[in-house]
Amino acid sequence: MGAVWDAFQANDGWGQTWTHIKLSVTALAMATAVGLVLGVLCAKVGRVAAFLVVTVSNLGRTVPTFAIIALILALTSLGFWPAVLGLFLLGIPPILLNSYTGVREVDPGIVEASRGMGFRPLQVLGRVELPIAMPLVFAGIRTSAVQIVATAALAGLVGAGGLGVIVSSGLSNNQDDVILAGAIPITILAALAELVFGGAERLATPRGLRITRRPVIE
Amino acid sequence: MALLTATLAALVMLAAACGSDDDSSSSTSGGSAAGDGVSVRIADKGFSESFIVAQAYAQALDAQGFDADVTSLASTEIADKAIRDGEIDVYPEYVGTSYQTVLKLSAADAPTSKEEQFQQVKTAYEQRGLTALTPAPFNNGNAVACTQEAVDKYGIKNLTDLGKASANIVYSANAEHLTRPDGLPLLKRVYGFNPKEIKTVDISLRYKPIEDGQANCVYAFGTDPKLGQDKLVLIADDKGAYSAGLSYQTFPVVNKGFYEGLTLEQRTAFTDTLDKVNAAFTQEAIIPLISRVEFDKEDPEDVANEFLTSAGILQ
Amino acid sequence: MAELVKWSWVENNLDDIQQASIEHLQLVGAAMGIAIAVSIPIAILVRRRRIPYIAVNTVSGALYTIPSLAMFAFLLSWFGIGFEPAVIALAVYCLQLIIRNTVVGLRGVSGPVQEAARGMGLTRRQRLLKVELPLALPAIFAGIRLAVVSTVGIATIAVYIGAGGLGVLIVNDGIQRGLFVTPILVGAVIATVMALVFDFLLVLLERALTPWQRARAGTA
Repeated sequence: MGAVWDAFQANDGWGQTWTHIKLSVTALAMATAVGLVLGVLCAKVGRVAAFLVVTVSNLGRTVPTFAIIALILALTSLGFWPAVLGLFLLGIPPILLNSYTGVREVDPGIVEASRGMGFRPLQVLGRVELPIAMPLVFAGIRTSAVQIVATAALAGLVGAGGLGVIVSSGLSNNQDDVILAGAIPITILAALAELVFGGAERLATPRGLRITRRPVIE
Repeated sequence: MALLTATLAALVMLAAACGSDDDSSSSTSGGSAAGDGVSVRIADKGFSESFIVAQAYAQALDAQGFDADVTSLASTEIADKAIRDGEIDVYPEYVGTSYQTVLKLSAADAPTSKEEQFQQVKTAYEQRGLTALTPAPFNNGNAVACTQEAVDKYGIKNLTDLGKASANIVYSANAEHLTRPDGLPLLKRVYGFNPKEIKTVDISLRYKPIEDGQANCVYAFGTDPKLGQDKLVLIADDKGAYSAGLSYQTFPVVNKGFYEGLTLEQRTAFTDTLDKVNAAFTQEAIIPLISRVEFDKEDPEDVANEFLTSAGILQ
Repeated sequence: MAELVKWSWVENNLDDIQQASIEHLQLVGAAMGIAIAVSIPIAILVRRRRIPYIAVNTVSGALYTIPSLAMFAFLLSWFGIGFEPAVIALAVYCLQLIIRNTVVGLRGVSGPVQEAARGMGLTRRQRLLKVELPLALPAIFAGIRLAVVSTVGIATIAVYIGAGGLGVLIVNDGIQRGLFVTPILVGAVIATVMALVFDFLLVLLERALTPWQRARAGTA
């Protein structure tokens, strides 16, 4: 264990961890913003948009992430932003799908009732639909967060830094300690993301809904 | 029922595709020649020069009746492990790299004659179950190259100056180099080179940060055509410790079990072929080849093929 | 943006493209075969036992969290380069998903159905084979489908331990040749199509194996 710690420090472990966090958080923030807005918009447009949402979701799952990152790298340059772009694209589908589903599944009766109370459409959205959709949205963010943190390791292969650089160094030089020095922090970060957003998801679920909520993306 | 049949048919076709033996050699192997269709697994180390040399070996051997295929491996250590484990049969290595990275000997203790260095490597390799064949003439040493701008601005005339200017340097290199004994650790130890920032990239992409303006120095090879294109300056090795004293000629490392498992006739054909190919790789010959792969985006296979043809090794 | 696809490269390298695709199929096929062969028996064993299931789920879950590059790197240092270590790595990633889905599917067989089966005099083994497993198939297939798609994606990284596959096009022919876009695009497209085809075939297979589902209208 001591050897792993030494390897971590010798390979700029803290610096790479910070870069890894920066990459992940930036990509997640962008994916959340875009995914949430698009998801809500699509939910309002109706059945037509369902096709778009499902397709994007499927593509996000099926196109190999590594290929996306390699493509972005080849079309732009090495470094932080190309990697963020790739991770951002990876993170959108779960958030998009869950936001869309979350808003669409709001009981129409509740929406009716709130309109009846005089809420304008934007108020209905902000005070009724979104809060009810929140647990599902957070579930989507949680899934994306974990995937982004894990995949950010690949950023190291395309010059964006991050803990993947340490793993790749260990791979090249056949040094298990170095591999662990990169892999363990990534795993810890992913677990943290799971905890944080899992907790947020639970907090956002009103008591009454906790039993009935059906996760769309696990 | 029709659905089930269709699915089964699809699965059967898939299985057939999976089961079929892939033809992996890139050129025709005439089984009547000395090679007798013996399979030769060659590896390269994932950068242009290595691609070209490995392809040249493969095609020349195929022409002699062997059945060669090439796999790309990620690094020296991986290649060394793979060949000792018998997972590959041959790969091109560099004397200096063998000396410092594989055998972990110190360049300071190396004999001055390149011939003696090679003999030392060859003897040590024999004990590790590997055979070393004759090296090629071209010398591809490790170096540091910097932009003209950095050289002028920080007064970098040699590696010692580079060490002093460390706080201003953003260095582009691959992961292997960062921990290789004859790589960055040596530069740190002997010249005090501790760059402010390091851009770690795949070995084949090490010039990109320079081209994108994100780095001002790079881990360079003596044969890199990008040195000329990007107008970079090779930094002189004033203490002679950074690979200047070592030979970096390329030579084939062969798994001993494989080598001795060949019949006398096959072994002679194998050795003669590789000797011929390596003899043709002079400094003047190799650089334009690398240039064509890196700048003109030509396939290493094609480039190697034309090279062998013009050298009279292939018809 | 310069021409995205250099078609001449595609024409000249059809052999390599085919070889990479076949290698990729072999990697995915072997990995899925092993994963399913290992996961289903384990799931059957632990389906009714709380603590063993938690243990199995935790271990397979922990393996799942190991970043793929690191997993390949470890297997390289223990097993060397090539096909076998890559297949093991790919199979390991599928374990948690398939085991969990199988257990959930098996546990989901409702009480009344179990009772009816017992009432008909079926032995435990017969109940498992004739009632529980068939009813669990949708959940099992859901897990396998997700696993296959993700395996096709992760297998693109196997190239880094000399295991071949579509990663050869993406990395060796693409990234390592001065960031040549065409092979990367070709590799990405083939991998995507492969994942979609696998998914589609599995849906067909599931439908074929669960004829009673078609009687239920509108089930997603």
